[in-house]
Amino acid sequence: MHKIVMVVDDSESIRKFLMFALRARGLKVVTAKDGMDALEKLPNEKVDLIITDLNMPNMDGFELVKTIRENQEFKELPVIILSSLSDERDIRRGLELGANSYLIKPFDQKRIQYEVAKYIN
Amino acid sequence: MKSEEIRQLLNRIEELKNLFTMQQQLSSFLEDLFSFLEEIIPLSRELSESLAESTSKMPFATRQLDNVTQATEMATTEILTLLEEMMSKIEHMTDALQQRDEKLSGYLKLEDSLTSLLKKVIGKNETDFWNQFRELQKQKKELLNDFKSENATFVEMLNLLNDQANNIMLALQVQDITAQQIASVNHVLVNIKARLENLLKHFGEHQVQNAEISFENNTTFDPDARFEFTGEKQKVADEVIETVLNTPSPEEEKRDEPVSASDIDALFNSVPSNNGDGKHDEKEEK
Repeated sequence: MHKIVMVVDDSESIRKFLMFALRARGLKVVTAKDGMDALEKLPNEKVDLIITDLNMPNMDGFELVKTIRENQEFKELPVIILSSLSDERDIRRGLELGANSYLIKPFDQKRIQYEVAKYIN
Repeated sequence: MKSEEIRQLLNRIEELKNLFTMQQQLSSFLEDLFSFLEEIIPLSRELSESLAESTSKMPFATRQLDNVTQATEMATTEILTLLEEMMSKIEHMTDALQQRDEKLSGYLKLEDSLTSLLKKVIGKNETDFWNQFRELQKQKKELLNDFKSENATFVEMLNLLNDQANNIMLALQVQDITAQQIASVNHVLVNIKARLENLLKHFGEHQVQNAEISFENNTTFDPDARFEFTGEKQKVADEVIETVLNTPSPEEEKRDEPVSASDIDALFNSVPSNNGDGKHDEKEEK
């Protein structure tokens, strides 16, 4: 059975691109359009890693990371932030909330595959 | 009257004279002011009409911008789907060509053993047979060389096509960035509309058409989003990651070499599989 990655992004094209990049590496992908949607789907999936955007409606990526880290069941789940926010304060905030890595959009396909492989292992 | 009193009276008269002079000047100024106000009133009406008109057009502008975002999102997704199908076909063709090459190598080995067998069965003295056999082999060798060379060229071309399709995919991330930039402009328009409406209340004459502005309050965006592929921002992020999490970045790990496909292969080969049912593998949920 394949590892499962959850992609959380309000942009359909980014979700699609990530699905392609990850499926090319034999991973299975589930998607959510914002933090709230992700939290609703998480208990129903055996997700091994989350890739999340930051700027999203309903619940942003910061809140999602915080909520995941506060949850006993998911607190060890690797989380990679993928955002166009490149300010050092945003990067620090994301990491201090518990994200394992931070990638800037537009992103390189190889780099995202590398990060996923590193943390899913 | 004493001379002192006369002097004081003269001073008072002088002051009165000055006051009249000033009043005359003031009167002239007030006349100018009145005529200016007479001119500015129609101008201000015109301005308020123009402001009201511009303000009422803003919802249309934001709706148009939203339409642009939706259309580009749809087109980008469509292109991504087609590219994915195209890349899958390219992979399939590359595999087929490589398999043909392997099959050919297997066939050549079989032929070598068959030739050895023929030499034993027919004997070396059958000159005519061996001359024709050698000619046949020569022609076959040329044919095979052409075939192999073409095969290699096709594989090379397919790899190039795959790389180019991949680059198109990467470039399509521009849609996500422009969507954020458009959302940012929409946000500015909403703020301008609110301020203009507020301003128009003071004029009191012209009401803005009560059209709903289409900007959704929950739309989120990065006002500084830029489509830059230099990797400079990621370098900064990697440095912060290193500082905060005390883990080396890929550049550190690889001593400034970019992440290669073999690095990723090695990592993925060591990924243990999930025991989950993976029921949502290839379908995007909304």
